[in-house]
Parts: sequence; structure tokens; C-alpha cells
Amino acid sequence: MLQFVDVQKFYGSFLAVHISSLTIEEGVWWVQGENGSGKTTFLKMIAGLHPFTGRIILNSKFDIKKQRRQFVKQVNYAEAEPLYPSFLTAKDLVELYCETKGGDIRQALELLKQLRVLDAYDKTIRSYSSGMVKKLSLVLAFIGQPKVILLDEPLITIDVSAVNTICNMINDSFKKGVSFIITSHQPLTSEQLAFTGTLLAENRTIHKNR
Amino acid sequence: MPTALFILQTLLVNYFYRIHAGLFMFSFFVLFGLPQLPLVFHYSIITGIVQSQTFLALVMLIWLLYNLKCIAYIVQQLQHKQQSFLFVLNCLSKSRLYLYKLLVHLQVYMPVLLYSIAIIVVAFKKHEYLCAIEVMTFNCIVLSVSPFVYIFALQQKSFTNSPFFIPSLNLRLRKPYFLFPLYFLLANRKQMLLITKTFSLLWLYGFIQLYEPERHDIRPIQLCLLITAASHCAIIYEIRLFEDEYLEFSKNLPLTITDRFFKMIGLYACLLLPEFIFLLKGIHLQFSIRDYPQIIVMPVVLLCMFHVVLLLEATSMDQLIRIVFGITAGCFFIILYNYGFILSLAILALAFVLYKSYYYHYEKQ
Repeated sequence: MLQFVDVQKFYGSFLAVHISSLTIEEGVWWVQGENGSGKTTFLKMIAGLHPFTGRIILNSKFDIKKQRRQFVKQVNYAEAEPLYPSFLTAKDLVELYCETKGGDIRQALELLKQLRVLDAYDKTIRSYSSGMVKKLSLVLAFIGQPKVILLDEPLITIDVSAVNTICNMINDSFKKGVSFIITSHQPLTSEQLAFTGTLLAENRTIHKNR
Repeated sequence: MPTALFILQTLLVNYFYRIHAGLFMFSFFVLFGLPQLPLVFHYSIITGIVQSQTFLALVMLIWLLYNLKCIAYIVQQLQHKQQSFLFVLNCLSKSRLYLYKLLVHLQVYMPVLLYSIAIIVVAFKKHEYLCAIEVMTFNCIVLSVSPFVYIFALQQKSFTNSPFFIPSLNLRLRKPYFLFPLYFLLANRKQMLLITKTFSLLWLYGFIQLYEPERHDIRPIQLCLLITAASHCAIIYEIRLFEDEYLEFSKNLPLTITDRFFKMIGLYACLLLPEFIFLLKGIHLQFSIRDYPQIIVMPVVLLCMFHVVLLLEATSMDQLIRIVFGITAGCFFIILYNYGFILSLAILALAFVLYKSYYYHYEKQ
């Protein structure tokens, strides 16, 4: 599904992440590691938000640097601490994502309903709580026909009932062929999410846990 | 120095001067570098201010705008999420808090204060006591009222019920992605937008009213629009900060680089729409209708260029001002040769190449 070839990420002269070779197959992957080990950097590179050297290829076809549009159309991302302009409404963002990612608004509305934020659909984000913004960002990550969804700490700031809803959303999408790469410090049971495997972020690299 | 004052000094005053270093350098260069005999030049200006009430009123208007800029900046900083810890200062006694805020404002207002002192000295020398009293009163009012605004902001009170509030246009229209920065300006940078547009439109109005060309020549109006474009550089800087902070997610949207570039052109064309409409006042007098496209394209591509410059690594406001000054000076001389659309197209092509090269390589520092 995703191939990494000599991927390096520098912050100034500091080498934060170096992945010489890594292939991640389809499935639900859990990225584990300490704070500052490079988990978010890893996801942001795949999402196209952070520049890096090397190559990241999706399904042996789309190189993020050469076919960026096709790549990001199939790779969605939800940030750990999402930040959106406060004057926008959820409607503005959902419509933008549906238009660009090619999604169905009804599907997004259904997810918002499941997460109990549909009532605030027409309200500006400045009236949202941090949990509501987080839920909105998660819904946006499911819009379109993604092959991979990257979720950075999807379970923080949200209420307990929403945790199960999100796990159900992930499981349902996985059954439809969507893969996930998830970072989470929260303990998750195998009943909630059946992880294919674990990726470890340590020693400035990412590797599979054997 | 008390710790609270030290923190306010570092966060508000030092940062204010660092952010506006370019503006101060530029102003200092224009006011003291360009005149051959700066002291004689300023003495003449101050004499004019002292002896003419209209001139004095104009100068006070400029001071007031500067003061509003200082207030807007500091209030924005005080209400920023990162500065929410300053809420603890509310535990200080009211008099002490007022004193600290007064000291903060005194320092950011210092350039005006120094010039005011010079005016007062000259006014006394020339026995123009009314002028001296007016300048003193003006500054006393400004200095005494401004700290209250900061205290108000520090208490995290809403400005929607205050006299400083500029209402927002709460239109329930669909917001196109390319206009997000414009909505941001209308929602969060109203004072800055108002000051820039007032200056820009007054500048255009003055030019169209006062300049009467002897023959058909579009170069003077093009030169005038160079200043209009340059006056928007602070707004462009804010737009880039906004993009950095709130629109990072948009890099994950499947838009081509060309699409993004055209959206940027659309944004700046909309931003300059008031100027373009206002320019129509000069049709037949300054230029003909067939010159109109050539005239309006130039400032749009310049704004795009200024925007792209900010994608180059770690471009600060200070560096931007210098680059804007350089680009404007360069364009000034090229416009004199009257190359028609070629200059605009060349700037546009260069902006696109830089945008394409740097857009995905840019990273917030």
C-alpha cells in the first residue's frame, strides 16, 4: 500500500526522521512511540503537509511528489489538534472537502449525526468546543474515496460515547477496503479495533514491530 | 523591573518593534534619509504644523491612526490563545495594572511622543500656545485612554459592545475556498483592512483629483498604483500568517499548483476590487477604457509576487518590506519605459515559477 524509500525529514539541521526502507501493507496500523519520537511528523509527511527528501509511493503507482493530486485524493488526514478558521462553519468545510475530495455530503452528514455534532452544522467554528472541532476533523478525514486514512490521536478530547462511534466508523471503512494509520496513546482493546500490526517510532525512524 | 512588567515588555513592546522594524526603517529613511538637510526639513514641517490648524489636524489624524494600529496589535496579542496566561495579571491591583499598561503603551507610542515634544518646543518658541496645548491634550487623552482598552482586553471581555468594535458582515453565503483569507481579514483584521483601504483610496483620490495629464499617458497612474500595491504588504503578511496557522490542512486537498495559483490571483483581484472600481473615476481624464485591463493587472500581479516572496524561507516582515521596496523601485523604472503588458506578464511568470518551486517546500518555522 505505502512504500517509503530513503525518506528523511530535517528540522533545520536536525534529522527528525529517517526511514531508509519501509512498506506498509493494507490494514489498520497503530503507530506507537514516545512524545517527540516523530509520529506526527511521519503522518504529516504522508499527508503532504510536511516537506521531506526521499519518496513515498501509494499502491506502487502514485509518488507524492510526482502525482501529488492523485496521491492526496486517496490519502486523508485528521490532525491531533485541528485548527480551522473560526469564521467558517462545518458546512463550509464539509462542502469544500466534498468538492475537492469528491465525496458525498449525505455521508458526511450521517457521520456528523453519529458523532452528535450535526446540530452545529450551520454554526461558526468559534462556537465549537475543542471536542466538537476534533469530531468535525475526524468526519472530514472520512470524506471522499480514500484508500488510506491517517488519524493522529483520534481519541483525545472526545467524549466516551464518541470513542466507540469512531471505532465503528474505522471498522466499517476497513471492511470497505480503507486502510488506517493511527497514532494513539489511549489503550485500545482488540474488540474496539483489530490492528493489523504496530509501527514503532523510535531512534528517529519508523519500523514495524516484530 | 517587576516580572509582570518584564513579561509585558518582552511579549508586547519588543515584539511590536521587531514585527514593525521594516516599517520603522522605511519611515526613518523617508523622513530623515531622503531630505538633504533633515533638521531644516523637519523644522519647516513643524513650523507648518504649528502655524496651520488644518495641517495640525491632519497630523493628529495620522497619529490617531498609528495609535489605533498600536492598540489593535496589542489587543490582538493579549487575546491570542498563546497569551491566555496573561489573564493572571488581573490579580494585580487596578492602579498597578493601569500603570503597567500605560508603560507598555508609552513605549509603543514613543515615535509619536518624541515628535510631539519637538512640536511643543517649537510652538512655545513661536508663542503658538494654542497649538502646544492642543498637542499636549491630544497626547494626554490618547495615553490615558489606551491602557483602559488593554485592561478591557486582558479581562477577555468581548469588544462587540465597546466603542472600538467594528461590526462584521455576517453573510450566510457559501464561502469559496480562495476567499478564506479575505473573510479572515473581514473577521479578524478589520482595523488593518480599514486603515489600508482608507490610505489606498485617499491616495488614489488625491492623484486623480490633483494630477491633470497634458497628453494621453498611463504611466503616471501605473506609478500611483505601485504605491497602492506596496501599501497592502502588511495585509499580505497577515494573510500568509493566517495560511500558516489555519489553512495547513488545505495542502492535503487534491488541488493542482496551477489551480492554487489562480485562486491566489482571484483573491488579490477581489482584495483590490474597491481600488479598481474607484479607478473608473479617472477614465477619460487619466486613461481610456482600453487601458483599463493593463492598469488593473499590474497591482494584482504585484500582490501575488509579494505573497510568493513570503513562501521563501523565513521571510520576516522586515525582509518583506525591504523586498517590496526593491520590487517597487525596480518596477518604477521599468514602467517609465512603457512596456505595456510585458512587465506584468514577466512578474506573473516569475511569481508562478517561485510559487511552484516553494509552495510545498515551505514550512512554518
